[in-house]
Amino acid sequence: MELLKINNLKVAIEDKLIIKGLNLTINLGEVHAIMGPNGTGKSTLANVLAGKPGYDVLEGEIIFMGKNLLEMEPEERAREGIFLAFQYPVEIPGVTNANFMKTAVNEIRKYRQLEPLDAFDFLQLMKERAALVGLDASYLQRNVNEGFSGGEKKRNEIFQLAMLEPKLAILDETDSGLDIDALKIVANGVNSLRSPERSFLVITHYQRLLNYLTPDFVHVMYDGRIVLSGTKELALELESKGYDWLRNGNNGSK
Amino acid sequence: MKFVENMKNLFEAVVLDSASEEIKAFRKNVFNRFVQLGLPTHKNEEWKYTNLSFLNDIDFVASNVSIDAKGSNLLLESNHLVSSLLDESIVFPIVNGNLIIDKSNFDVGSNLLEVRKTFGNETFSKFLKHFNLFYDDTNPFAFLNLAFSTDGISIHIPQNVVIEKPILLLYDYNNSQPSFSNSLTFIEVGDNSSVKIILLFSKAAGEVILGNETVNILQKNGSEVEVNIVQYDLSNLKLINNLNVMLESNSIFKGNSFSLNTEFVRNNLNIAFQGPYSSANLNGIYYCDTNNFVDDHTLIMHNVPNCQSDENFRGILDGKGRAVFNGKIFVARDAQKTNAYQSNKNLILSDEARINTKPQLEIYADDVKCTHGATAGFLDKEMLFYIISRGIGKEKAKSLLLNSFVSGNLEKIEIASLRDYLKEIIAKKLHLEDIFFCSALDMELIKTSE
Repeated sequence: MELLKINNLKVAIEDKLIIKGLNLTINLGEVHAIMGPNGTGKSTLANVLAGKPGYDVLEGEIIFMGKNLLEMEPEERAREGIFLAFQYPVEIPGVTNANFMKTAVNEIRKYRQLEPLDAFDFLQLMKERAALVGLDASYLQRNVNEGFSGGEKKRNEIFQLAMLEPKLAILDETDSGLDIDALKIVANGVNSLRSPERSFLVITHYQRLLNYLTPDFVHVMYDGRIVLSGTKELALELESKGYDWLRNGNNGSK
Repeated sequence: MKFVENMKNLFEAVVLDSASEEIKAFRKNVFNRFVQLGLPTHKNEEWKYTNLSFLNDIDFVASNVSIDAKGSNLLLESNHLVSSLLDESIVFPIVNGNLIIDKSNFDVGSNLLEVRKTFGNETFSKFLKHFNLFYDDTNPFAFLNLAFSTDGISIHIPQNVVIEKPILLLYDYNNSQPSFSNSLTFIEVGDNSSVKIILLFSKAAGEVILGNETVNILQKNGSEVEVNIVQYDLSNLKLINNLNVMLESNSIFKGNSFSLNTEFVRNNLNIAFQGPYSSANLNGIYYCDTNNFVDDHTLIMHNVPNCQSDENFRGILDGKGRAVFNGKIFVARDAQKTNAYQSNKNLILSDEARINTKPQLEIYADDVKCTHGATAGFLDKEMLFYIISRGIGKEKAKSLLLNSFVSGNLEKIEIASLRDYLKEIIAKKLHLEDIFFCSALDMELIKTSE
C-alpha cells in the first residue's frame, strides 16, 4: 500500500529555492534512507513533511494515506500518523516528559475517537516504551530534554516515537552527535519498532547508522533533488566513493 | 476633588479618635509627612509607570465596617479549596480596614501567640521603637497608612515556637460609597520561631475602594517566615499593599506574591537585612488581561555582610493588560559577601499588552555577587512547533508552555492547600485545566520508580 507519495516538490525558504523538484514514494512497511551532503535539502524535506512554518511550497504535491498532506495543520499531520524525530530536539523547561507524552497520546487518541488512557495504563505504557530505548524511568519525570546530553535527547526522540506509534517516522540526522554505543541503542530501538504497519524515512549524512538499520531503499539527494536511488549497497558505494563522486557529474542515472 | 485635600478633610475626624495624646501627635506628624510628599506623579522615578491621577477624581469617604459586619465574602464562598485553606488556618478577617475579631477562629486561650490591636497603648510604644527601620521615606502611602490606620493586629510570637497553622489575614472590602481603607499589622517573630502567613484579598461588588494596607514583620535571630500574598479578581479595588520585613541574623524569609487579574495593585515589598547569615527568597507571578494592572516594586536592602537574596518574578500579559516590575537591590558599603540574584521574565500574549521592567542595583561593597536579568518576549516558536508536532493542538501547546512558565514559582509555596488553590485559579485563568491534572500522575510515577 502506498503510504506517502511526493510529486515534483519545490520548496523555498525566503525566496531561495531549496528543494527543486523531488519525487519519492514510500509504501507501508518500508524503510527508506536519504543520504547526501550538507545543504542539499534533506532536513528541509523532513520539516516540510512535519509542517514546520517558514517553508514555501511552490509546486508539487504530497499525498499521505490518500490525503493532501500540505493542506493539514502540523498537529493534524501528527494525529494522522506522521512523526518527526528532530535533528535538534527542543528543551522545554517546566514540562515533564510524562506530562508531555500524556497530553500528546490523549490528543491523538481523541482524534482517533478512542478513550483517553487512564493513569495506570499510561504509566505502564510509558515504562515499557522507555525500556525499549534504554531510557531510565527517572527521565520521565524530568523536564522535556532539559539538561539531557546529546545522546539522551536522541533517545528521548525515539521514546516519543515509540509512544505515539506513527505510520511514518521521519528520523532527521538522529545519528549525528552520537557515539557508537548510543548509536546502537537508538538503532535497536528503531529496529524493534519496525512493523509492516509502519514506514521509516531515515535522513543521514553518514552510512554508519545504516549498518545497524538495514534500509529497503537508499536515495541520494543532491542539490534539492533525488539523484540516485537503489538498495542498501548504494549506501556502501557512496561511503567508499564519497560525495565528490556526485559533484563530478555521476548523477541522474538509476 | 484633589486627593491630598480629600485626605486632609478625612484626617480631621480620624485624629480626634486617637487613643492617647501620644498617638495623636504621632498621627499628625506622619500625616504632615504625607502632605509634604504629596500624591506622586510620573516625574517621581518610583511611580514613573504607575498613574495615580485617577485618585484626584474620586471623592473618598473614610471606610467603616458595614453595619451587619457579615464578615468576608470569601468566608461565604463555596469553593472547596478556599474553605479547606480557611479551615486549616488561623483566620483574621480585616473588613474595610477593621479587624473583626469575633469572626476569627483564633483561640484566645492559645499561648503560642499574642494578638492585640496595633494601636492599643501597650503595643504602640513597641511599634514606635521599630518605626524607623520600616519606613521608606519615598512612599507617601506608608505615611498615609500610619496616619489613618485605626485598626490592625499586633501579633507577637515568642521564641522557640513553631506555629503549625498558617496565619491568614483576610482582607475584605465591602462598601456602598467610594471609600478609603487602611490597616496596619505588626508581627514580631521571636528567636528561632517559625510561622507561615497568608495575605488574602477579596473585594465584594459595590463602589470603588482604595485599600492601603501595611504589614510589618520583625524577624528575630534564627527565625523563619513565609509570606504568601494572594490577590485575584479584584475589580473596583485600588490596592496599595506595603510589606516590610526586617531580618535579624541567621533568619530565613520566603515570600510568594500572586497578582492575578487585579484592576489596580501596587505591591511595595521591602526586605531589609539587619543581621548577618540571613536569606530571603522572593517570588511572584502576575497575570493581567483586559485593562488590569499590577506594579510590583521590590526593594532588598543588604545592610550587613554575608546575606543572600534570591528574587524571581514571572509575568504574563494579555489583552490590554499592563504590569510594572521594579526590583531594587541595595548593597551597603559594609555588606561584603553579599549574594543577590534577581530575575524577571515576562510573556506577552497580545499586541496591546505592556510590561515595564527595571532592575536597579546600587552596590557600595566590593566583594559581592549580584546578578540580574529581565526578559520580555512572546512564546518560543521552536518550543511551540516541537509540541504541536507531537499532535498537540495549538491552544493546548500554548497552555503547556504557560504552565511551564509559572509552575516553578507555584511549586515554591509550602502550604499544600494554598498551592492547590492557586493552581486551580491559575489553571482557570490560563485555561490549563487538564494540564495541571497531570501532577497526580507525576506523583504516582515518582512513587513507583523509587
